[in-house]
Amino acid sequence: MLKIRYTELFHLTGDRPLDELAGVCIDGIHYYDFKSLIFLTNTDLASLIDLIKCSLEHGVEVRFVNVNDGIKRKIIAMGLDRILSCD
Amino acid sequence: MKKYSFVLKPMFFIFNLLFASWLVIKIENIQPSDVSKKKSLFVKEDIKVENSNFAKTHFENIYSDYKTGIVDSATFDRELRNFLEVESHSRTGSK
Amino acid sequence: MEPFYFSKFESRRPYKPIPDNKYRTLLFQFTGIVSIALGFAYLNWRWRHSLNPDAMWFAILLASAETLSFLSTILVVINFWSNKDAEKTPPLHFLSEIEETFGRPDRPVKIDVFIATYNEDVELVRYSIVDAKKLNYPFADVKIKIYILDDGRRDGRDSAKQNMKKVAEEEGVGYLIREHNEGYKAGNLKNALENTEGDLFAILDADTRPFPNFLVNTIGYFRKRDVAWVQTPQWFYDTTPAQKLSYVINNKLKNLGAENKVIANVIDFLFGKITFNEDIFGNDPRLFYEAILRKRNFYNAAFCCGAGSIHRREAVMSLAIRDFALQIKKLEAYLAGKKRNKTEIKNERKALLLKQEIIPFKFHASEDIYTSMMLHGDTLNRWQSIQHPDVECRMLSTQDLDSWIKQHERYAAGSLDIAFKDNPVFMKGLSLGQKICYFNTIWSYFAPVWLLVFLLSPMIFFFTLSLPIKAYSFDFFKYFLPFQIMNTITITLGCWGIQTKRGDQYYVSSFWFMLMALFSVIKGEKVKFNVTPKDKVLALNKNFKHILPHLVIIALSLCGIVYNLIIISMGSHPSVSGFAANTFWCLLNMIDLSVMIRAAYWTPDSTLEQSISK
Repeated sequence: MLKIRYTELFHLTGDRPLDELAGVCIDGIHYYDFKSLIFLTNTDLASLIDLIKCSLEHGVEVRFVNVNDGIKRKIIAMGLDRILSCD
Repeated sequence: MKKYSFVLKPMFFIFNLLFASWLVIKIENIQPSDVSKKKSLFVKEDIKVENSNFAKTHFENIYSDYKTGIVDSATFDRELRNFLEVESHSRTGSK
Repeated sequence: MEPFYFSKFESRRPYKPIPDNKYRTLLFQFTGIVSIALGFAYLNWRWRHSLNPDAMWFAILLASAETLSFLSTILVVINFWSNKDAEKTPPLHFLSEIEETFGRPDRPVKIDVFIATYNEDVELVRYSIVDAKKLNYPFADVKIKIYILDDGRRDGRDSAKQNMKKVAEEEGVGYLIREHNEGYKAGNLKNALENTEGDLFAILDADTRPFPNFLVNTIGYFRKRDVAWVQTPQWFYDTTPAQKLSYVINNKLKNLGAENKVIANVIDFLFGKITFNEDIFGNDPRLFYEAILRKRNFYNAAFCCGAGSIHRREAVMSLAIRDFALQIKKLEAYLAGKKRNKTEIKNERKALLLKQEIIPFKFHASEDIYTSMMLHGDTLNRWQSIQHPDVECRMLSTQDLDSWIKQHERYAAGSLDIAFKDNPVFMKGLSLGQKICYFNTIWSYFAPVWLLVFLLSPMIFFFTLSLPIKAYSFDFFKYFLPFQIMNTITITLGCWGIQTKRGDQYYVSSFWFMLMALFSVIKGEKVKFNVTPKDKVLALNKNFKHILPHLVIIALSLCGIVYNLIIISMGSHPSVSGFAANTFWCLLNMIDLSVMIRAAYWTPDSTLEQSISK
């Protein structure tokens, strides 16, 4: 399971504690919990896209859960709804 | 003065335009008959017709301009009138 | 620090911007409208009553060139219509002042300063680093980080190259490299954004030396949440100084061994006030930044010009992400249209996802204007741009004609390439004013088409004795003169306070390389990104090819004049008035063309203390 630290993934926010994004692997799909994330900037979204690309290179599918409505709306507005899976 | 030096170039250009336009219009309005009629380009008054031979040449020039189409009928009429007026004044004067 | 040729210009200070004046603006608008009306009247008469039926090909050619040139006049009047400087505000402190935090903890804003370099002398770049380190900011907890973006990879691996990394370490600034040069400067900036974390970042070239208040005077604009970037005027502090004519004459006499103190004083008295060769390369971009770009604030159409700009990271990332998503969507739509099955679409999508990059600045030779167009056209965010009026940094200009032409060729080819591939006139999201302003920029690069006609027309007359118009009658001047005079007054008002002489000369003189740039883009040649040399480069032998067309035109013009004078003396010239008109026109052309010839042969004079410096 790919471990993702907040500061590595969202290195631009920089003010998060050095802990990992909670995640679990089920049937080969890695799920990451966005429960504690209030908002994502465009730069954060770029980092997420890089994460998806990195995972795809390893043949791993990534999905995000407990994504709040604000972040979902942002993802849809940026046209990333089919790239960042967060149903 | 340096503050307004940017105005020099457009002023020079406009002056250039005006001078060139004046010169071209001046040249455009020169006719062959003017050679016998005026002392120079920059003098408005016609030469006084004192010599009958000169008057004859001048008359021939006016007629030739009209015949060759250099001047139109209105201009020809005006030139002829001026010529006859000057001729009659010079004859009156000489008497 | 090591002295360079530009060290003697250290004391030069930039101009102050011309204050806005609403009465002058109103007067400009009035004369502009009158000028356009007179222009229409003139062209109407030209097309309907003045074409010479005995030389129709020539008549139509010239009338067409005049019509195309008149479109420029209209575009300029629209561009200069009004001024709308953004309100200056004090510098920022916290992140919450520039964007919504959405519940995130607030913190001081972070600012990065990027100095992009490739092959410039490292000691020259050190000047920029030292000045960047002197940047003021009123809040000590606002972190300003300076990074050298070295696309030359001069980190000591190649002993033949200078060591940029060492200079960065000596100065205590960051150093970033990448192992390829894809995307030129845009790619370099992409790499920088991936490795830094500033909320705002300033872009400086290797030779851009910011003044201490560069950030203090500009960061405040970002309080407006929709401001994507702020561009400051690029000012070149090393433009060639004016030379006194008296000095040149006395120098020549000295070289001939005819020096005499009395004669020298007389010459100084007679010619001392006459100067020439000031900014011989026409490098001063004040006309562009202060007249053209500044007035585009009115339409929110001032585009980024690279060095001396400050950007909001979120804005460029927004563009990058949406472009990325769009490419994926386009592929999906294409594949769906080809009736591929879901598995095939999924596989192709995955392949593109892996291949596609997130590109903040468009990979293009003119990445600045291209990215600006995209940001202006962003209907979701409606980004604003600001052209700041004051000069906040200084830069070095090209010091020889060959370098100057290479630089401007890139600008021309880059803008024309955008016009053919992604024309702003048809771009969704741009407002009408923005479309007109971008079109104005692109249209200006089509100028060589009509300029060539204007330059060749007098010669066509001289050698064929055919006039393009029926006659230089009173009617002609009745229409021509008022239009030209009003046009000149309008431009003077629009460019109030700015010397336009050099700009006008180079506008005409640049016809050849701009024509070549146009041809290369039409042929589909890839636009090359040439790094402009910033050190002094003397390449006299390279310059000749640039001025050969100019010399040919001048030579042919002089031959034409002599030929016509011979015919006039024989009394068989069909139009002496035409000769006079075309000679005047020709002389003006030759004066304009001569500037590039003088630039080609200009050399720096070592005894510059005799010259006037600003």
